Amino acid sequence: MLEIGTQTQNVVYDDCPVEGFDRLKAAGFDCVDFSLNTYLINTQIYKLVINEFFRQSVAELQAYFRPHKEAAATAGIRIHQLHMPYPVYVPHGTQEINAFLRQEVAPKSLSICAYLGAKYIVVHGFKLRKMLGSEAAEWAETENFLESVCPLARELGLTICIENIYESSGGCIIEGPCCDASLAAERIDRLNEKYGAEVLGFCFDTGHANLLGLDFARFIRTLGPRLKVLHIHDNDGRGDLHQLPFTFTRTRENRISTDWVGFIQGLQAIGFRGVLSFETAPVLRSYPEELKDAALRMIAATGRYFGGMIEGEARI
Amino acid sequence: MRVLCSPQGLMEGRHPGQGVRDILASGLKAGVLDFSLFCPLALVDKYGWDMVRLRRWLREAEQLIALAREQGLDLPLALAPFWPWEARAELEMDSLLELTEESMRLAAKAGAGAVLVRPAFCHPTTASGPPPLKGRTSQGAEDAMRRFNREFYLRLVPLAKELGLQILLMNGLRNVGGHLVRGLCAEPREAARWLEELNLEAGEEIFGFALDMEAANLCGQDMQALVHAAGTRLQAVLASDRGPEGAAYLPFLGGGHRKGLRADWLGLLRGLRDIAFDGFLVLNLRDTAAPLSPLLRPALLPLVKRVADYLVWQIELEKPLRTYPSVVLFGAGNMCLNYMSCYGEKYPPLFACDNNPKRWGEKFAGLEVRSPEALRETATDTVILICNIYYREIEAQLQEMALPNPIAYFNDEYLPTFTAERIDWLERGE
Repeated sequence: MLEIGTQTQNVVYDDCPVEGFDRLKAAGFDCVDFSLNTYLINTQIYKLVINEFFRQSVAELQAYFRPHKEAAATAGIRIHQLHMPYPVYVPHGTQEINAFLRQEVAPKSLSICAYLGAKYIVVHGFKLRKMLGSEAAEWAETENFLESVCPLARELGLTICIENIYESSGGCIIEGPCCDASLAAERIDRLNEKYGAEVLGFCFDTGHANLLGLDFARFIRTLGPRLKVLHIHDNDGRGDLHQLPFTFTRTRENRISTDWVGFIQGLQAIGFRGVLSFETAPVLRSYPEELKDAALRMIAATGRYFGGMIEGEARI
Repeated sequence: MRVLCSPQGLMEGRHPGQGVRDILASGLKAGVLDFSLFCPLALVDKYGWDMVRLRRWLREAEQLIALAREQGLDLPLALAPFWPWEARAELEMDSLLELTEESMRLAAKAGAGAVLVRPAFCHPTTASGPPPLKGRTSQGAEDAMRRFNREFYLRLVPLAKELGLQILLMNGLRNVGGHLVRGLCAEPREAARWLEELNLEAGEEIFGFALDMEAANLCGQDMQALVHAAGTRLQAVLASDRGPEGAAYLPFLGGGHRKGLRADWLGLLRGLRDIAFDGFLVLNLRDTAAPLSPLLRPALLPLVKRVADYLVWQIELEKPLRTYPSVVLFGAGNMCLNYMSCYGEKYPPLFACDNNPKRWGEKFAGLEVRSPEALRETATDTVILICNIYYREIEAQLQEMALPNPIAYFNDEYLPTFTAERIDWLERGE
């Protein structure tokens, strides 16, 4: 059976992590996506407000996350993947801020990932297309950053996963880094060959793919075994809402407007055996406290449905 | 590059006279022979897939062709009839081929050199797709779709050769429960591969590509990547701006957001510059023109030409710079910085002038900032390039100075790069 995972955000809290992990286990989850990005959030980074959290030493950070690690183990939850704080480069940021993000936040994130027993850490590529003039120039900067952390990833046995993301420009959503699966596959292969290890993989984000009208099945098939991690969530095709799959329709017939069939078929085609991990933390914010556990159970049940379809013989 | 006006929103198939007049009144000299005007889905819905009717409707285009010839409207590009797959599942490939071939003959008669032909078989919507695909995997469905379309396109080749027509493929969409997502040829590399394979089979360069911005806008696509992938095979761009639900607005009039534009104009213009685009630039203003009263529509038309000229000017932004014997920038602000960052090395200005006396004598972006009066000392063929958004005000000032020098505009909205660090003039107290 494929394992089911979800974010720790909005469930696992620092003051009593055991409560959150127990709650996730009771809802039917096997794994978590540890939301490391909540310790240095993107909106603050863009405002160039950088808190002190990642100024702690690796030993101090490990001590900080020891209760989380122990609570997860006690609850029987495996920490499968992390999300590195993002962005790791701010075009309008000072040299000091960008150096801190690159030289402190990124490597320390990898160390925390290894400490928590996770193998995968998701990063966002740099959004520099407008400034530098092309996707190729933008990727060159991302690759330069990745090269700065790949040696540590190899040393720690980790796979850094690049994710398909979008950009907002003038009220319009336009594809951002890593939205071309063929290019991503070539780049992943090249870096992995260079480092002689699987230092780079891919995180397929269903919500971002839906916003950009990507062909789920084709994208996943193109990635093949490079697809290591998932961010499963749904939206209306207009905003990045991070809601539960099967939520949105566009017509009076109420047919699903997200290509979940393509998602399942793509994962079937590549024989995906990773974790079906949901990035649906905002769901927990919209439901009242009394319904949170039911919402979590529904997310886990959706994961089990996906798992059954992917592993099952039945073709849809 | 040739600018064309799409008749969508401006013309009715059965009464094309006013539409032809309107397009010509805009100042544009060419349009698209769009066969969907003659057999729209609404008519088919009403009368069914009756080939006798469909053939007759299609031939009604002859009236437009004759009228266009008479009034001097060129029709160098045609758009073959198209109906969504779901709507015409009962129409056999042979019938669709017959209608497409008939439209090609009419296109040739109109003097067109290229015809846009959408795929016969749209991208399957997996499980809810058409009957032949039930039970197939996504790969199986895609393979079936490719085979079907490949056969369809290749069967058009002999006639295309005979008529001397190029067939243009377009990036398509598919429908997932009302959500339009990327379909056939929407991914840049896939489109390039299709063109490569079809041309190889055809034995010559019969197949080219047309970028439909309406479809690409809906999927937030990187226009620059699409343009690059098609490269020299990009023969037409159907330019339109984006609305909240996918629509074709006159460029730069896209709705839905107070902050600005919705289409990736930056990517498109960069891409077209990169490949030195020299095909058809088609302005599609369907959803800007259609809601206007026919009484108001004439007021819109001069803007269509202005927008077309602006797009061409942006695509060819560097072209005039190459011809200037020498140049002075008027304006020593962020636009000047951007000029210097992108073109300063290639086309170095003599100096920059600015109306702010506090700036005179300053070194800015490697240029000396001087008073506008210093322009009187330049050679009379030195071009004064206005590098400031207050174009008309500055131009009036220069005209009052009665300088003999040519005046031109620079613009930094769609530059190749934006690496110059912007200066906050308020922060500088200026």
